[in-house]
Amino acid sequence: MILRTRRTIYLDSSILVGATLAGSSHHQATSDFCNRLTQESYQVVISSLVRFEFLNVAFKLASGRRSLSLPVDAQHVRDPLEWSSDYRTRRSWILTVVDAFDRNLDSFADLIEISVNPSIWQETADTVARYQLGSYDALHVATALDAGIYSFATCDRHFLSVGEINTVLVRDDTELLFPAP
Amino acid sequence: MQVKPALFQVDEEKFEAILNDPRTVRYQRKEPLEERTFVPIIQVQPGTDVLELLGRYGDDDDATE
Repeated sequence: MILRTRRTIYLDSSILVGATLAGSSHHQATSDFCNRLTQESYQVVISSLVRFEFLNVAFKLASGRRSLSLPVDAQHVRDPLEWSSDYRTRRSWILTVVDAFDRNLDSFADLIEISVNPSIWQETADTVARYQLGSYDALHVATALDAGIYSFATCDRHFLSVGEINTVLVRDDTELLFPAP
Repeated sequence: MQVKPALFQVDEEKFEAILNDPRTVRYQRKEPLEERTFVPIIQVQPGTDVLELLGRYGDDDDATE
């Protein structure tokens, strides 16, 4: 193993989703953190799974399945029946938020997006068994380790149980311990 | 016993392999920095638990559960 110090960090989906949802828990901390990574030109590594997790959250919110407020961008959808019956309404809104999410990702100086591959799949299965994480959570750990990255930013304290990574907790209720390399 | 690398240390061999993998996509910012900021997209009810939305244990659950 050849180790080198880099300004490189893996971002769990909770960081990117938290930073996009104004009002949510840890929004301030994650938003500040993402802007710091942007301003200081960190190399940011993500799994492509992040996009699907974001899409799932956005659709849940817009559909009102969780009895939460509609996203501000969807306030024009006055009639819930319109949302549930009109494909064009849903498509228009979904494409709007997906485009905004892409633009946020574009703000990072250097973004590396890793797809699921057979090696990560095997590592994910092992991580599920070893740490009793959910499969999506385990996939993020497996992706980071497969890429040789040990600095892992998340809002989720459950990752503290993973001994192979350096978990950087980014939360509104926790002091951020993230010194410059 | 495996020793965990320090914060910001990267395994160069593995990292290079990922960078050279054709399935990996890399985006490098070309615009001046001031034109790019990370902005919120969706307004939710104050205090909405982002971890619960992601289908994980919520913040009220014990971290070792």
